[in-house]
Amino acid sequence: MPAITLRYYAAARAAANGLDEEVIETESPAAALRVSARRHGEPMRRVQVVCLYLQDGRALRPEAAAAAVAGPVTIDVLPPFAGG
Amino acid sequence: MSADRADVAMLARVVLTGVGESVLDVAAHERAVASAHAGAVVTFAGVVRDHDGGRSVAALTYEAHPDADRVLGEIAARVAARSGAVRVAVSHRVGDLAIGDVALVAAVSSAHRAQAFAACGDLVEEVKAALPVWKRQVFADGTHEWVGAL
Repeated sequence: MPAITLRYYAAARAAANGLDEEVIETESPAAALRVSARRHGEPMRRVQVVCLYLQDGRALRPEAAAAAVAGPVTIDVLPPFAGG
Repeated sequence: MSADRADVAMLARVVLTGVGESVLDVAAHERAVASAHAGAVVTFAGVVRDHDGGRSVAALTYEAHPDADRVLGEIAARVAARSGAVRVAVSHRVGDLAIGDVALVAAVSSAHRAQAFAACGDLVEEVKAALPVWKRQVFADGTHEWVGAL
């Protein structure tokens, strides 16, 4: 199984009990996010719904998240932006 | 590209952008966009306020994605390119800020005011929508929240 690194920012990090990132060995980004939601519970489930995702720096469309990845990838978990 | 569009592209310039922890200097942004051609300089300062949604705010922390600096440059370039002959400067501060601190500065100059007002508003809206920055509010009662992620 490829190593999928989830990088958490802001509210996503808070939901992950302060973790900046975690590595989950599974087949797809969607599967890794399910593991994360099980591990961290309701706060993570709530924040995942409102997040955008990047896969290796490029926008990850929801319909593409379930596709199996061939090698290790990094997924950025981005809560809604709140600059300014 | 027509001759007119080429002229606009040459005149539209991003002169300063950045995301960092330093105190923001509004006047420096005004100076950066100034030119002999510019009859209007419009500046926006986003300032940390002491209330939000009826609750009393004690302090704010902004966090930026590692790519935020690059993204801010792209936002400025995009707004400048669609705004005609303007000069653009924009910076976002991150880290721990106090009430009254400036979190965002946007300055735009152009020959006439309408173009500068429009471009400055466009720039601020685009920063709010597209810049990967997050805001954590600490309330006076000691509780806190990440804005927009409830």
